[in-house]
Amino acid sequence: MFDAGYKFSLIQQNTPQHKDWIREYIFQFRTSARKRYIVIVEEYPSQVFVPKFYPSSEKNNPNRFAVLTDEYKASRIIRTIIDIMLFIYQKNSEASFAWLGIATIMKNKKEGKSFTQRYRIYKNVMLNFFSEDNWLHYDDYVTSTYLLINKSQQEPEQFLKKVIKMFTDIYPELESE
Amino acid sequence: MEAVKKTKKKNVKKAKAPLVVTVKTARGNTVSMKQITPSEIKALRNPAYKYLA
Repeated sequence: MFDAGYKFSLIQQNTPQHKDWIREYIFQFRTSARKRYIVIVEEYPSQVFVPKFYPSSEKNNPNRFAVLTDEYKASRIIRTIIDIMLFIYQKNSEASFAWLGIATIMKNKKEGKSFTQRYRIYKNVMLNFFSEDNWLHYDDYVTSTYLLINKSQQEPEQFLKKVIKMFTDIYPELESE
Repeated sequence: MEAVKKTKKKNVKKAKAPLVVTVKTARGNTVSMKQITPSEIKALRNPAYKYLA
């Protein structure tokens, strides 16, 4: 599992106006001739990158990040996202990453936002592929969020506080009730 | 031969990473994130996987 990803390509790099992130990178990859995935990596201040992905067939679905495709190719898809994170890290040696294991929304199923299935899988992947020699791993199972902090940060506590404050200001839903 | 003057390497001490970080949000709530400790990592890690970064 997770041995190989799909070949991906960077198709666009934008500097969006009126958004909270300063840059976005759009990648694509195919799991078959007909199935294409879009990966958006948002770059926030302080070189914090947030990867998000969805099948292109769901592009008009407001829940596109929360669907299950039943393709049974999750491990290769997740490995592709890791390869994209490594691509970003190669170009930004001080990059840190943040992600949310979004709750699955299907016709007959709506997962709670704590300790989601995606969070559990992604956390395991982070711990297995990103060494504690180079990264600090922080999480919050209540909101299913994860921070992978680059150890090049001289003041990790100040950096973490700044990043958490930034994300809770932008996304108030990250505050647990 | 002139001896090469050795410069003493400055030992820059990095601040220690906290185990829990708590932030008070603009709306007055608190948000905490917890560091995953080496023992937790050891328990969750599959030694068959190699680190990529």
